[in-house]
Amino acid sequence: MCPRGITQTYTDEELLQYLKDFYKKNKKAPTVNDKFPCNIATFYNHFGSWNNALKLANIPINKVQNKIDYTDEELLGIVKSKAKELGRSPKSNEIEFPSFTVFRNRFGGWNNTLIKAELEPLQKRKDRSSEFKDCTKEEIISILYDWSIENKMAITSGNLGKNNLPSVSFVLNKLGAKNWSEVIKLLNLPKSILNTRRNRGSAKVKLTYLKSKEIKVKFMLNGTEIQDIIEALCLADIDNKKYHELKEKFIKRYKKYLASIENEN
Amino acid sequence: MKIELERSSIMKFELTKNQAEEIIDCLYIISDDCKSNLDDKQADKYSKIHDKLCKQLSEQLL
Repeated sequence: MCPRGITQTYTDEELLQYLKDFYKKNKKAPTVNDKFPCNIATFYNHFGSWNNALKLANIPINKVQNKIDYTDEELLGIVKSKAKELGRSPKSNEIEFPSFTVFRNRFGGWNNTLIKAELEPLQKRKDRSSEFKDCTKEEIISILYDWSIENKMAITSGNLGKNNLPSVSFVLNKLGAKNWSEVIKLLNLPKSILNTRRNRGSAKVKLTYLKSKEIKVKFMLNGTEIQDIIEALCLADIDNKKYHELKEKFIKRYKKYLASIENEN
Repeated sequence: MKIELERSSIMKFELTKNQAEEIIDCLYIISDDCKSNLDDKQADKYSKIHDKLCKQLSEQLL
């Protein structure tokens, strides 16, 4: 089925019917991890929350599923029990209750959950940075440092994933950095390289701002990307307040964006 | 055409640095989870946006 836009092209009735059909077919309340013809963000945009959508569709909310006060032992017990049933480590989507987000937020990822449950972690897909996987943190720093010196400019994340360099995610993960500015600090580049033309003048001011978490940054995103970010936040927000607030902000802003498109036409 | 416009139009989205980092973290975690579940398509989707946000953020902060 061809997906459509986020608000104008689905009616409330259509969306509620998707939920009802799912409930009828699967005999359980749908979750944000289940697949529907539209993006999950569309439900949030129409009904404000997942539970509101379920209420309007007259679907009983599964209290067990939404329980958030599981102990570590209970959660790991669920995983072990599923592993025993399958005869192997389960995938996160093979656990019916609670949602894998609960496990991720508690243990920091599905593979970490499996390790805590004393099970074999799942094999990850081949990463494009696999040739760097055996490099130490110092070797990665050295690679990025040498590139910067050779090119007479501080390396940016845009240079990664090509030029025989590892991906941005790989570097952030390997160096334990939260963002690119932390990576640059770790490189300890000479001032002459840091003050290349693109950075000259404002470098000192920006470094001061870096200390403040309230500095404003702007992203240029298209509608599909915004929908995907909302979807990721929906997947992450189940028992995490900070992601819930971010999701609400994104949805609010996206509605304004859609209204502006409407006005232009 | 309207739908295509919705999907392809570029908008400027302002966030605090803290919020931006949280979203980037979220995308990283989600894509990592997708990888764990061998769902390459979803993992790629979130990784791609993650990389794009990282790139735009670093360009503004450098």
